[in-house]
Amino acid sequence: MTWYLRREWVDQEDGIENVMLHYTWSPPGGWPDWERNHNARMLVDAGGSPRRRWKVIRMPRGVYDEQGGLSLEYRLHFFFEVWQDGRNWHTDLESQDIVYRDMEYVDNEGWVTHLCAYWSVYDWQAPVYSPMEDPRFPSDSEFTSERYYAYQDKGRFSWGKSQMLGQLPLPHYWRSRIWAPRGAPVLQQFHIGHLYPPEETFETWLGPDGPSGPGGNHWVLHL
Amino acid sequence: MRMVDDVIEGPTFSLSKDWVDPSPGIDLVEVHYVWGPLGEPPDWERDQTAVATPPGAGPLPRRVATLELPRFVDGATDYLLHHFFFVAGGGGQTSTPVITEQVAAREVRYDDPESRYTNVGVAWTVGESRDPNYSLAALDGLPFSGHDDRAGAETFTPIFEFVQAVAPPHVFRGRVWGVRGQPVTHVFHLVRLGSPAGDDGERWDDNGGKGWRLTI
Repeated sequence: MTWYLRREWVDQEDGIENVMLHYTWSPPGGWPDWERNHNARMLVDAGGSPRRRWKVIRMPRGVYDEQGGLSLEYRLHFFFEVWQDGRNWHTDLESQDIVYRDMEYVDNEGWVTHLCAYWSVYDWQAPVYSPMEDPRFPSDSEFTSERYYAYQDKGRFSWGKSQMLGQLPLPHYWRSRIWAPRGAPVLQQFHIGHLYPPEETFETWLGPDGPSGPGGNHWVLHL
Repeated sequence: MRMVDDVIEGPTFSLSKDWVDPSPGIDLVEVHYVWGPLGEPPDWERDQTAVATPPGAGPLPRRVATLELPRFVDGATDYLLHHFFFVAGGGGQTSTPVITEQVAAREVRYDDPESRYTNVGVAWTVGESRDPNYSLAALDGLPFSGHDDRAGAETFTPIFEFVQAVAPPHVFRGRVWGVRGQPVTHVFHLVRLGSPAGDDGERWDDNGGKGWRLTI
């Protein structure tokens, strides 16, 4: 599963016709290598006064360093290319450390059958559902959380998941991982489901003040 | 530097998928998608996801998910995109049947009989999306003048003298991507850079604001 980051630009002067976002990644502490990896995306013109422009970009779960080792943390490097009054100019290069946090939800009663971390960086405009799993749950099972979505018979899946979870000693430790620029606010809820047996089906989005809807009461984390 | 396998190495483009809630009470709509070479079935172990959210401040039931897709798969512009919607709320959860579409590129051409421009870009959107994409057009006879190849740099280089050395008429060719059978709207970004006469400039050729529409 990937995650998403929204980049925004606000026109500070008249005459701006187009803004491009240029970006790349490097291992922690590294510098951009534009020859090897260079993404350029045209921003969406959202209008308004001052005019706002934005793009949501897909972000990796990590990068490999020069030795081939996977680094779950990395740096995002970006700048804006601005077309204004018939000429183009670039903003200074900015770099942000991308860091992660392992999330955990402890289910003492074994009531939960489906669970996701629902989160988004800065605001709710680039949200992500990250399926959670107890690390003791067998990864080769047809009932892993990530396989739920493509599984056509949801009833059978929920039954199977419930049966297998019932074999795990309590409490159940549901875990997943989230990423964000260091220090940026991350809005977060848990999307909790109790989907077996069918007559007890219940789901909610849980925040610090209890159940709500998606984007309702939520935690604000800083990684 | 290599990326983990969920990151596209090379240029990408945005493709929107629309969803309209069929009934009240839906809390979550998410697109699951995966791509692969022509003729190969989807591998859902590698799927990507995008949450469908209301566009702008508009009310439900319309939601839009933006997919970020590669322009090349195994070096080819044509490949298969498979997707389905996962829907939750209203007392249940379900996944729609999988839809398989062919992604493909089309060449677009800009003629510059006066040899005025040094660089030409193509801005384009797929279907009714407002999320624009951009690619560089290459001048016939000067292939390095623009590229939408796997490097993906998409930046203008100062090549005024090289462009002037190309015999007229100047023809720029770029590519746009979309879904086979569906429309793409494009405009041209016309740039003159590095002129010793100091008459650099840029403008957009957008067919009176309508853009040009073609079918992939």
